[in-house]
Amino acid sequence: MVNMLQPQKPIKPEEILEIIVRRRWLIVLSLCFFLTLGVGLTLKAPKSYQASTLILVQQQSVPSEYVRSVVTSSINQRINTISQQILSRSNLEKIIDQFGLYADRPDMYLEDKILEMRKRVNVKIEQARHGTESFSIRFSGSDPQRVMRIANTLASYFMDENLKVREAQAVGTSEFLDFELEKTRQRLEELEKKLSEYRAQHLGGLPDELETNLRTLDRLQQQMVDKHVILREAKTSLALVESRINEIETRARQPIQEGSGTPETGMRDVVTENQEKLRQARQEYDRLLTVYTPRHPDVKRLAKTIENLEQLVAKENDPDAENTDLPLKPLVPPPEDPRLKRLKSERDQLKGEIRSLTMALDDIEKKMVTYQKRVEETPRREMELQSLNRDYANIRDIYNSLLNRKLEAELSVNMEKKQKGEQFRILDSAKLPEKPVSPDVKKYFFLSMAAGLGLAAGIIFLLEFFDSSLRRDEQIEEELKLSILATIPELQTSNATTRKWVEVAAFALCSLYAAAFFAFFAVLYVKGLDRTLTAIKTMLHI
Amino acid sequence: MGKLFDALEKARQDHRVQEDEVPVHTVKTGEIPANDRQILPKTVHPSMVTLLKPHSLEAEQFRILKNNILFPEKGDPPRSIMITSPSPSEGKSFVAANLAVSIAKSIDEYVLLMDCDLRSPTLHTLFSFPEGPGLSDHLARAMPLPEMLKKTFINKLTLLPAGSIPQNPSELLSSEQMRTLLYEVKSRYRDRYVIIDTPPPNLTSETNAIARVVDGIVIVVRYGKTTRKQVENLIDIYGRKKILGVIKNFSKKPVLSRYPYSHYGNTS
Repeated sequence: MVNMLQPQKPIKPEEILEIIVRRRWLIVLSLCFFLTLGVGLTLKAPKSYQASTLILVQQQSVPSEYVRSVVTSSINQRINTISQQILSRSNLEKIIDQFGLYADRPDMYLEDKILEMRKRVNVKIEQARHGTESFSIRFSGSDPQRVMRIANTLASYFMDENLKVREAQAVGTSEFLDFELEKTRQRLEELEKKLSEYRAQHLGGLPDELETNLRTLDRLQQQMVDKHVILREAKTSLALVESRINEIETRARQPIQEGSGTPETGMRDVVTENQEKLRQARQEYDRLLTVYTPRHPDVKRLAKTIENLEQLVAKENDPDAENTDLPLKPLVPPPEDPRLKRLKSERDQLKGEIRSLTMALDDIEKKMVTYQKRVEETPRREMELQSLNRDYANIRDIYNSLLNRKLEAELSVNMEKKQKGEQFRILDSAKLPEKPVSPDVKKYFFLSMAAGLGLAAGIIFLLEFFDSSLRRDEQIEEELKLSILATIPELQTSNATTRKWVEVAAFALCSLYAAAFFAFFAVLYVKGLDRTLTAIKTMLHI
Repeated sequence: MGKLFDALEKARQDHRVQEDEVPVHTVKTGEIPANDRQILPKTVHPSMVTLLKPHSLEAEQFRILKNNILFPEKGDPPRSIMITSPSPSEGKSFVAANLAVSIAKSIDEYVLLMDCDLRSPTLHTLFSFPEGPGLSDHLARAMPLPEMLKKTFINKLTLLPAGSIPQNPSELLSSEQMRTLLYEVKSRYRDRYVIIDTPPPNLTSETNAIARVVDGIVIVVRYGKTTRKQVENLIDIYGRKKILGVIKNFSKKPVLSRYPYSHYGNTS
């Protein structure tokens, strides 16, 4: 106690040895007690056997690069799921019925039986090495035979369940993909239809026809220009023809009015007029030749006109005989002039030409308006079409990916059906347990040894801690600062000697007892409980 | 030598008378030196190692004790020495008797051994004296002291037994008479050592009175029983100055070494 307030001196080995020797009785007695207790408990404890089935988780036999499994839940998850199923009440009930468990305990409630069963079933995942995994299903109970059979039943159930779970998972995935695929296909078709309708509706105004439209527009414009030129020419010709007709008609009427007057004057006027026309036509011809070649229709026609005019002028300049006849003629209604007739037909022809030209022009204008509109609307159409196309492309992508997955899922389902996927394989089926797991002799052995030594050590520590009696010289010389005058050993009286011998004998006996129990325990531990007991029994019978 | 021989002879005759009366442990013969065997009664208590086994380790330890007391490092040797220990049965009487014998066996020291433990006197049994008048009778009834002094079979060693057990040992020992006696004993014989056996001071009060008069105090400590606290209490009561030292009694030899308990020389 006093030492507590002072710095502890390091305890020397010989001091420990001395303490052990001094307290030897305590150690030996405590050991004796606990070893006896341990052996007694080991022998008395109910024996429990455990059978274990080791199941290997086999990787799928088709490489996962080729067929990706749709069952992606981890092995731990699956084992947990399956062990929950195995530990389910209905399943345990089945096993209890099948093996007639707890038949000797009719007073026990079913719930308690199931609870106890659950405690006795143990699914343990063995430590995985290099990706390969295995787990064991253990069952413990008092009857080794039954324990073995139940462990095997549990294992086979476990494997069946796993296959079922995997297949169901694969088929489920495949079905889901089927459904999704169908849905997407319908949408895709809808969009396709919409797109083609749109295209049909806006045919010609579609963005990819823009170039053609523009080109057509150009062509129409060119045509319009050409037609305009022809129209103008036709109109000029018409005017010419009409003026000629007018002229001829006026001339035909004049001789009647001027028969009393001076017909020569009239004659002269006509000649002058034709000459004038000829001159003008020639001028025009020269001008056209500067622009066109002589083969140009206009030039040809003008040449013809000039020729006509030249003939006309030549006729007027002929001998007067004919001219003198002329003033006679108007007295009778003049027959239709063939020249006039020709001119009139020409005029009609020209008019028809002009009409058809005007109509063609109108037509072209209308067409141009249509094309113009198409070209103007092209950006809008483009945008609409783009959005439609985008939707369509999206849906098509989705459809394609679904289709791929669906194919994969079908492969996987086939793989599961043919059991080529990851599966459980029994490595070690449960065998008849020979050695009981409980009582654990090792545990009892070490516990009783530890308890014996621990209790002794604890008591010794306490005794030494509170023991302030003087033993060592240092205590007197250093702590009390008194000199030791003499050290007198215990007297060797015959009485004391006898007592000492008795003590030695008793101690030896106790040690022997402890050693015997220790040895028995060791044999139990090494040889196993059952074998030792049978060996002892046979020995006793002999 | 003639005087000594006479005294021894007388003592032997005295003790033969009581041989049958006092049952004492027999002692192994053969351990007693030839010259002593003749003068020692067979009833001497076996714990008198200095007498019975003078060459034993224990006797040697008492010689060391004697030398430590007779030849102190400084100053004069204490003439009156009180032997005490905190609790009973730690070996006070044993130490006192053997120390007395050891000193008396020296060449020229006389020793008076006083048994002041009036409650359970033991010294006379160690020397195998019968119960008779002693210190208590002297203090209580003023019986003359010389009649009570016993000459032992060791020359130069005189024993003053405790006498009959009184009703009031504490008062007797604390009395003036006792003090006078101690002074007288100390002063009368200059060459004499007085060894006083006392009752345990933890239980009794009379030791204090004696302690004040004596020159030195020797504390007997029983191995593994006497606690540090008890010894510290004694130091507080008597003061360090008077305490000569400690005797470790019932000491056990260390587990790993046989020294210093091995025999040396011819001991039989």
